[in-house]
Amino acid sequence: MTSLAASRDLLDRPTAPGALLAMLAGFAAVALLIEGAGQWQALVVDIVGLALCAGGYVAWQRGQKVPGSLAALAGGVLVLVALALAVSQPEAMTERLELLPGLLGLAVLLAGLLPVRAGWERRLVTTGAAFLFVGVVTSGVVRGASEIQLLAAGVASVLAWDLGEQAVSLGGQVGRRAQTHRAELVHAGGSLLAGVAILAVTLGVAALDVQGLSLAGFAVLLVAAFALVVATRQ
Amino acid sequence: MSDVRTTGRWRGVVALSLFAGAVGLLAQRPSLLLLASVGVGYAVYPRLVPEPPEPDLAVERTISERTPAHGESVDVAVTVRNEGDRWLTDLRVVDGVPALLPVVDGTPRRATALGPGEETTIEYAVEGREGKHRFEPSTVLTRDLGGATERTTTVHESTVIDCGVSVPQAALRDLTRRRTGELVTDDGGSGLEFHRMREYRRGDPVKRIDWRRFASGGDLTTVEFREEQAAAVVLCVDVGTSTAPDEPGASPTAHAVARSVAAADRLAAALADANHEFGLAALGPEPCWLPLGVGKSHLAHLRQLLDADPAFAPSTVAGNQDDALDRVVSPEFESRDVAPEVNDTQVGPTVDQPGTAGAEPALSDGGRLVDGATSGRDRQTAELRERLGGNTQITLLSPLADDDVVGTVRTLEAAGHPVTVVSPDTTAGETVGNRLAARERTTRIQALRRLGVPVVDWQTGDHLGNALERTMERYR
Repeated sequence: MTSLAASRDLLDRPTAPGALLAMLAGFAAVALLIEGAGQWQALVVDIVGLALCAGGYVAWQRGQKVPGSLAALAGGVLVLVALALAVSQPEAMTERLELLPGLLGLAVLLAGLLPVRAGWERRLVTTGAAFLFVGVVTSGVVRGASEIQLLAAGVASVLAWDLGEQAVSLGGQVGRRAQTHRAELVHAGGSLLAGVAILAVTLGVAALDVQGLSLAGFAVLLVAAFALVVATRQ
Repeated sequence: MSDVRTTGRWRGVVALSLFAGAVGLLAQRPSLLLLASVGVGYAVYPRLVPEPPEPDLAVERTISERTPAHGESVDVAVTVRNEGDRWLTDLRVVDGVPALLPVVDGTPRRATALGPGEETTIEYAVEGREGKHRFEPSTVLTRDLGGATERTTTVHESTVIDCGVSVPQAALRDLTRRRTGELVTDDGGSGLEFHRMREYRRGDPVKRIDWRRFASGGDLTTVEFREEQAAAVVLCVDVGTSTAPDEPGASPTAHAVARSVAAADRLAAALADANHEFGLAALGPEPCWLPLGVGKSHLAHLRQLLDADPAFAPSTVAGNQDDALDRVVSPEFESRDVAPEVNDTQVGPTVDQPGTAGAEPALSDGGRLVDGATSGRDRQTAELRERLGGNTQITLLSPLADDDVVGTVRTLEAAGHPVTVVSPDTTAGETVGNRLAARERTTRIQALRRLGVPVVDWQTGDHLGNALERTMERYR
C-alpha cells in the first residue's frame, strides 16, 4: 500500500482523541451502574477485550496483519467472556440483566469509532450509545441503582454519543491525521458542564419532595417539558 | 461571505426522554421519569450556547521555497490567528493546497479552539510539480460549543509556488515592427549577420560598399545584412471555455493551465530580455488584458497578473458576467499601439452594439462581452481581435483540448496576426479517455501545422527551452 493510499484511508476516520473520550464516557455510563464485585469483573474483562480489539485493528492497519488479527480475535473472545460473566456471575437475577445492554453498547460504540465499516460510523455510534442508555433504563426498571447514579449514567451515555459523533464529524472534515485534541477537549468540556448542570437542576427538583407527586403528575410534568422543547425549536 | 447552517446533531436526543418516560410510566418508576430530564436538558443545551461568531481570522502562509524544482519538497507553514474578541470554540481549518501539488508530509488540516488573540500553525509539505500553482482560499468552519450551528467561510492569502526553469529565447515568427531588437528577419539592411550581395544603388551607405570587389573587378556592390528588429508579442493563455471546470473534455485541466501560466512567465522573461514588446491576454471565461509594453517593470506587472488575477485560476467560474468588469490594466507608461483599447472600463448600464463587434478596432462597449457570437471561443476570439493592434503576433499557450481553439488560431491568422502555439501535453496516461484525448490533440497539432502555424509540443517533463528550439528550427 502506498503512503498516499494510506493517508486517504485515514482521512475520513473518526479522530483518535475523540474516540478515546467517547469510549471513556461509555465506560463511565456502565461503571456508574455497577454495585457488585461480579459486575466489576465483567466490565474489566470487557474493557481488556475491547482494548485488545482496538490494538489489533491498529496493528492490522499498519500492515502487521497476523498479530493484529490474532489480537482482535482474542479481544473478541474476551468480550464474549465478559458478556457471559455479566449474565452468570451476579446472584440476583435483576443484576444479571442490567449490565448486558451496556457491555454490548460498548462493543458497538467501538465498532463505530474504529470504524469496522466505512460509512457506518454514525449509525454504529448512535446504536452503541442507545444500547448504553437502554442499560441505564434497565437498571432503573430493576431498581439496580440510585437516582443520582441513574442520572449520571444517563448523562455519560449522552456524552459517549456526543463525543463519538464529534469524532466522526471531525474525522470527516479534517481527518484522523490532523491535530484535533484541543477542539475536542473544549467541546467535551462544554457537554460535560451541560451534563453537570442538568444533573444539578434535576436533583434540585427531585429534592422538592417530588416523590410525593403522583405518577400522573410526573407524566404531565414531562409533557410540559416536551412542549417547552418544541416551543424553543420554533 | 459566510454560510451558516444548523447541523441538527442534537435533534434525536429528545427520543431518549420519550423512551425513558414511557418505560418509567409503564414500570411505574419515578426515577426513570427523572432520567427523562437528561434528554430534555441536552435538547435545550444547544439553544443556550451562543452562536458561533463571524470568524475574524488572519492567515499567514510562509513557504520554504517559492521556485522549487520539479519533485522538490516545499515546507508550508500556515498561521491562523483569531483577531476577534470572542472564543472560537470549534475551529476547523483546511488550507487551500493547489490541486496539483501532492501533500507529502503532514496534513493541511487542523481542528482547534482559539481564544481572542491566540494562533495556531499548521505545518505540512507539498511536492513541486511543473507549473505555476496558486494556493486557493483556506476553508474555515466554526461551530458553537454544542456543535448545533456551523459557519463556513474562506480566508484568502495569496501564495504562488512557481516550478520550472527559464527559457533562453521565446518562439517568434517572422514579422516585425520597425524597432531594433533581437529578431533576425529575412529583410536585408543593416545588422550583424550577412544576408546577400546586391548591385549598388544610388544612395547606399558608402561603408556598406564591398570595396575589395570594386578593386578587383571594378563594379560596385553593396553588402546587405539581416535586419534585426523587435517583435510585438501578445502571450495568450488558454484557460478554457467552460464555466464548469471539471466537466470532462470541455475545458483544459488545471494541470494545463498551471503549466501554460508558468510557460507564459518564462516566455515573457525571455521577451523582456530581448527587448521585445510583449502583452498578456487570457483566452477564457474571465477576460484579462495587459497591453503591449517593454522592460522589467512591465514584466513585473505581467507576473503579478499571472500570479493573482482570477482569470488565470483554473477554477474560475464565470457565472457573474454582469459584474465582470474587465480587468483592463493601464500601465503607468504609455503603450504605443494599443492605447485606444484601454480607455474605457466603465461599469453600469451600457448599450450593447452587436453589429459593431469586430468591426471597430477599439472596444465599443467598455470591455463588455460581445453579443452575437455563438460559442464561447468565438466570443473570446472576437474580444481578443478587438484589442490586438496591427503587426502584433501571438503566442498561444493552449493544451489544444477542443476543436474551437483551432478555429481561433485560424481566425487570428486570417486577420494578419502570426500565431505560434505552445501546447503543454496533459494527455499522458493509460486510460482510454486519455488516449483518445491524445489522439485528438495530435490531429489538431497536424491541422495547425498544415496551416503553417508552428506548434511547440511540450511534453510533460520536457524542458520548455528545448521544445521551443526543436520546433523553431523547422521554421528557419
